[in-house]
Amino acid sequence: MARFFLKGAALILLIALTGTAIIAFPGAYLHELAAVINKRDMLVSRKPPRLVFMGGSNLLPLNGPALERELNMPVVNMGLYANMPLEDFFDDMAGYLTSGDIVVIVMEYQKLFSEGSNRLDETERIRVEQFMSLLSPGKYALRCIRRGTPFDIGRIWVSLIQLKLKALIKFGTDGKLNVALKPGVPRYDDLFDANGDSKYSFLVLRPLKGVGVIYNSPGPESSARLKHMVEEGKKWGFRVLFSYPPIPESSYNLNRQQIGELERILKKDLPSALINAPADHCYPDGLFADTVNHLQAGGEKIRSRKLAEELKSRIMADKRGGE
Amino acid sequence: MAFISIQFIVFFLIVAVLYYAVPHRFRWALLLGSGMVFYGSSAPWYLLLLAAVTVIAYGGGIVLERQGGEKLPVKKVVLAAAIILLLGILGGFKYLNFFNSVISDVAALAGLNYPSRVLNFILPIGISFYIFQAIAYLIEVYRGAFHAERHFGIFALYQSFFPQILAGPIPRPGALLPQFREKHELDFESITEGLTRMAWGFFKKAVIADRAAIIVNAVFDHPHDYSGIYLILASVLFSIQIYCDFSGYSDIAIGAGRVLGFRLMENFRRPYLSRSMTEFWRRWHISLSTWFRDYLYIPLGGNRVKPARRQFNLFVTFLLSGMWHGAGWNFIAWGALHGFLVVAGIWTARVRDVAARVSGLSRLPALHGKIKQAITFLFAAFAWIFFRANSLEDALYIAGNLGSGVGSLIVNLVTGNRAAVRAATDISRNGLTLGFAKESYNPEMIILAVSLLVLWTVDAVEEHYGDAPLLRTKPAAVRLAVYYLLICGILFFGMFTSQQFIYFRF
Repeated sequence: MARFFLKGAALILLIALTGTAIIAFPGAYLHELAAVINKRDMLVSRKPPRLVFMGGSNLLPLNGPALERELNMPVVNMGLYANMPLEDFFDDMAGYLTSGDIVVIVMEYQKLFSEGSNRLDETERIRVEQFMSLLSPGKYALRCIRRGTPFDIGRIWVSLIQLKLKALIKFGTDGKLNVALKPGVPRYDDLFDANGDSKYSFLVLRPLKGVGVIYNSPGPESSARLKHMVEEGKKWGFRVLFSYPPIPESSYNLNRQQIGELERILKKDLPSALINAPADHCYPDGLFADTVNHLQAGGEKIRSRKLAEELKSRIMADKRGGE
Repeated sequence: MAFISIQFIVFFLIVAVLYYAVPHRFRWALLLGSGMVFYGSSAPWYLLLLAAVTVIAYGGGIVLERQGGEKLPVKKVVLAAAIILLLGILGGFKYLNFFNSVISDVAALAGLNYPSRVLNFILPIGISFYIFQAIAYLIEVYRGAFHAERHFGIFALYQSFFPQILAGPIPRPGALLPQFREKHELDFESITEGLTRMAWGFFKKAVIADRAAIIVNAVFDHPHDYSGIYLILASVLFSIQIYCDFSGYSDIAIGAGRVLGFRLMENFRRPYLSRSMTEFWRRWHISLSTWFRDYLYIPLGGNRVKPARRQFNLFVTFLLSGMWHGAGWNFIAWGALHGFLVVAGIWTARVRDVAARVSGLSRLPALHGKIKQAITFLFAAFAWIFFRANSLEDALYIAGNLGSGVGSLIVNLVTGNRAAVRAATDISRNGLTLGFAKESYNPEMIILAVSLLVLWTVDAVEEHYGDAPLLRTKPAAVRLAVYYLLICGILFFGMFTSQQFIYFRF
């Protein structure tokens, strides 16, 4: 009996070691969200003080170079995907931020309203968490244990191994092994510029996805997450600001009451973090690409210019206040 | 509870450990309880149905035995009544809506007003399997081939043994019931054999079947979007998917039984290596095909009747086998097609023999055998179109368009017209290529191709060496390497989707 269990344990150990070696070996993951690794590396490589944008995919087309020119500080666009738990991502990145840095949070409206509509299904949760776990594996393992889902550690581990092996197969058979051996998303430099802005525009599709959706009423969690980030910033010595995301006029008009309520809550809870009002980033539907969160290039040009102005005046005001 | 889930692995480990830990006299109760938990975890009300079937079969068995050894008319009535009750339950859940819609269609054709209402029944998982299992028991008791089981707990365990309750293999009472009374000692050879068999089943399901399913679903759900070459690809892949899915399930069931010391009936013997459709049915879903042979075909007269009658009986058996699979015209068409292919095989036997002699193929038995295997596979793959298609209309469309665009594709390939070949093979839909994201299409296809090569190699080796556990004779290092590669293959290349086993629907 002892021999049987010994052999079984040796087999399990061997498989675990193989998996760990695959994960530890530098290489790409065949999934766009693996860009979190590249974006983290980009943040680390930029000298402070930096202007760091965090949020969902609404930030992808941001015009980082224009913002850099206007504000005269390096811009790091960490925006990637709305379903990534932003406060966790923020906490993971907080260790890389220093005094003088300014973090601008631009969360999608769907994420600002109450939890009901935001809850992720299990597949999506694992899909997102696997990449977050690459940033701080220990923290995510502990979280899985604490919330009573310890098997998620194995699921995430297996899923990451699969994505790495698929990248290896894809680029290995294409004769581009060097692409598979670079950490993060394959061909990051083709997808994102030096600021982390997407090099590709969103496809223009009609009807816009998400148009006509009525948001839930804002709840206490709407401002709690942002408050947490502002407090953390204070603790680490950097500034956290909040900008409303872009919204099509039709969605804005449809949800005027809920958005007004949200604005009142945020104004009350985060008076010094807000740099604009929802109406400031309400644009004609025609400027949006495929969803209510994604602006076309033309729309983004306007949004980035507005953001630059809002940030500039906030930074000037802060400086005057400081003097 | 799905077989491919962490819940099942934990459940199975607990049951296996407890099974060997408790004294033999309590094991039946442990297994019965486990079966209830396993089956009831899908929907607790399923247990009521299972209990009803168990009570009917148990009571029916005892009443049948009390009538004595003679096949008296009373005994026949008891058997018929019990079978009608059981088939009534099956029919109520499985066929009522279908027959209702047929009556409605016929009434509409006759210009009559028949208010057809769809009854929202949920088909309980495994119902077709455990009802056929109960019928097999009743017939065996009626024939006097098996004594009625008096211990209700043991009989309930026979009906609810968790490794095989959801999709078979459909056991024969004589093969399974006595095993519940046998004392199974802790035997690590059997446990290793069982675990390896389970792992092979997981590999077939998670690595091959569920990967092939993505392509199959993409094409079969939108057949009008694809040209002939993709309809052929999807049909061939569905043949592989359903084989890996169902034989994978059977491997897990047989392996789980083996871990606990039980020997369940083999359900598949490399069916795609068959050289005729008759042989195919001796190798495919063996527990069901032998059920139909023993309890329908033979009572209808079997091989003892005149050839024409025999062929009619064969056709009827296959037609009913098609209906067993599902309440729909496509399943009936599938069964009828198989019936026709088997009967046509009998009709053409002499002509094929002459053709083989004239062409010289009979002097090259190896090549002749391979050609027969290929033709049998193509017939089976063609018939699967009717099984998989979402409707009979879709099946007829796919079957009728298998050749569309294939000729021009071949011409373009031969003439080197790359642009035309590229245009014909561009099958991206909504950013997906045959159901896969564009980025992952190539690696997924490579993994599928390699895993099919592994499957083919294992099947070829098993065909060559027979069913003897070959691995057991190999050195420990070789065995360990096989286990290691198998588990790594499952973990690192398995698709852990929510794709249910196909046969759970029946």
